[in-house]
Amino acid sequence: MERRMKLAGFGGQGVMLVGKILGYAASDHNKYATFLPSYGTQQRGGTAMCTVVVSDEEVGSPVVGHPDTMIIFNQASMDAYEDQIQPGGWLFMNSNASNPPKRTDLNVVAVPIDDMARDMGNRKVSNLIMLGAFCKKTGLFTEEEIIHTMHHVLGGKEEMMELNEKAIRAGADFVAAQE
Amino acid sequence: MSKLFLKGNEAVAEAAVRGGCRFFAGYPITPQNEIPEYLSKRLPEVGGAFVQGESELASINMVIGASYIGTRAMTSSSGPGLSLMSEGLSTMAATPFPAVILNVMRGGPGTGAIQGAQMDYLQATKAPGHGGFRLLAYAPSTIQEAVDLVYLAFDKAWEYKAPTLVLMDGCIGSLMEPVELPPMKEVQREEYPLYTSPHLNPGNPKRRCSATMITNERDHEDWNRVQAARYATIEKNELRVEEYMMDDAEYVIVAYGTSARVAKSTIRQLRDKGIKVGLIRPITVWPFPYESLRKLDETKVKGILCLELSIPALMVEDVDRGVQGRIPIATYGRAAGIVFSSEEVEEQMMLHIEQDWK
Repeated sequence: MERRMKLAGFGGQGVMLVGKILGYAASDHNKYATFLPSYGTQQRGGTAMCTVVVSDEEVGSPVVGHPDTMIIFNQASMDAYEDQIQPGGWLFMNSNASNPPKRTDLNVVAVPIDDMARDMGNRKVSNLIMLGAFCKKTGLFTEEEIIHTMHHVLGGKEEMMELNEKAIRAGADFVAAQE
Repeated sequence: MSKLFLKGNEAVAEAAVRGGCRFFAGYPITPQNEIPEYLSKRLPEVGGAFVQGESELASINMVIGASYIGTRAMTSSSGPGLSLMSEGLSTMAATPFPAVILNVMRGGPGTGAIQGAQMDYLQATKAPGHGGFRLLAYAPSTIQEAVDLVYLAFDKAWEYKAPTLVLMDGCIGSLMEPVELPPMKEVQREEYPLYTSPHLNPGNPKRRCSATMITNERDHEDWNRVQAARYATIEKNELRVEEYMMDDAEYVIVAYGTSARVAKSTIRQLRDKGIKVGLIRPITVWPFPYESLRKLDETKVKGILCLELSIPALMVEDVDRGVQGRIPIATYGRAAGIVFSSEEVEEQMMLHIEQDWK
């Protein structure tokens, strides 16, 4: 099985970190993975985008034209990337910062990550709420697996780690409650 | 957990240390800056030395100095920097002394683009500097392979006593992938009995001299012959190529580095649709795997696509030298840091298949 994903938002939303954690998690669980950041002559606050491929076999192309899964953090990214998603593909979106897609063939998972993060007392963890929602919905990694990886990637103050863990679980719970 | 999830540039820097690198000099340039950044911290930990030179020219000459006293030394740069280092590379090829040279390629020509590309193929394979010499040149396609080849490049450079090139591209440099690192090698500073003589410096037998110029014509010509024999040995012994799904292939993609791994995805996509495509992937770009192309059966293979992150196509002349006009060759490239997706390459393949490669 191979999952070819793109993640996009604006700089500072933690888009790259979510992509990296997915790569680390794949590596931790003996899967193949590539994380390709899009670094160019880009401006501060501009669009941040990365491509992540997770596979049971050695990954061929780290560059993906039409992802099966897209994780969108803001409106600009929705406008830029909605059309690239494979027909019938998955779209995870931050419903606080983007309107729904124009396309009607996608499996949309809309999560109000900014509101949820604010309610938890720290807006910075909105990206991890999205990570939790993504893992729960796709089953790519279990909650426990992704939390384990998050700990060894981020490793820091205990307070912050507790909040990070809470954020991942909140994302997962949000998705579970909708089913 | 035996595998680490590492960025290409950092992974090859660690591989160099484990392969015995104890001296690095270089000058910053995108897209390889993580290599000197990593080594500036790492080399002192293993008793090595890191120098950020005032220029590429100074850096390559410091690498020459380190190599002269038998230290495993390396530099890394990108195309524009390699051009500035070419005088030093030619000196190393002439003396000859070993070192590992990493080129993390970016868009060209000139200052070019800071993002990854594959625009230095001709420089790497035909003329890394003036005066007619060859460099054994590896072109890795995954981070694991980059790690393994950098590690190997140190052994080969010191085996042949010649600079050895690892031709990466910026995409592999900035990519992250799971990788298994090789063991730390214990390397002693090497003595060079063949190239040094106490008679050249009778005052101090421990100091060494090396001739950068041989004034006697016959001696010089003899020396050229020695070098030519060395290149022939490398061509015979060091060629590396991967032939992927070639057994029943009716169409062939020739690509190296990032292009080759994109091609592999394209080939899987096309084979799912019943179209038999294979890949010839040079792992060494010099020596080039002409034989893999020479042995293609023109009654079976209907067309070849030469795929590079370069506009114009640069490798196509080597491909044709192997094919000798027997099979039609098309080219496809992107440049300036734009990397084609496997879907994009699939479209190109379909276009050529529909048009019968005309």
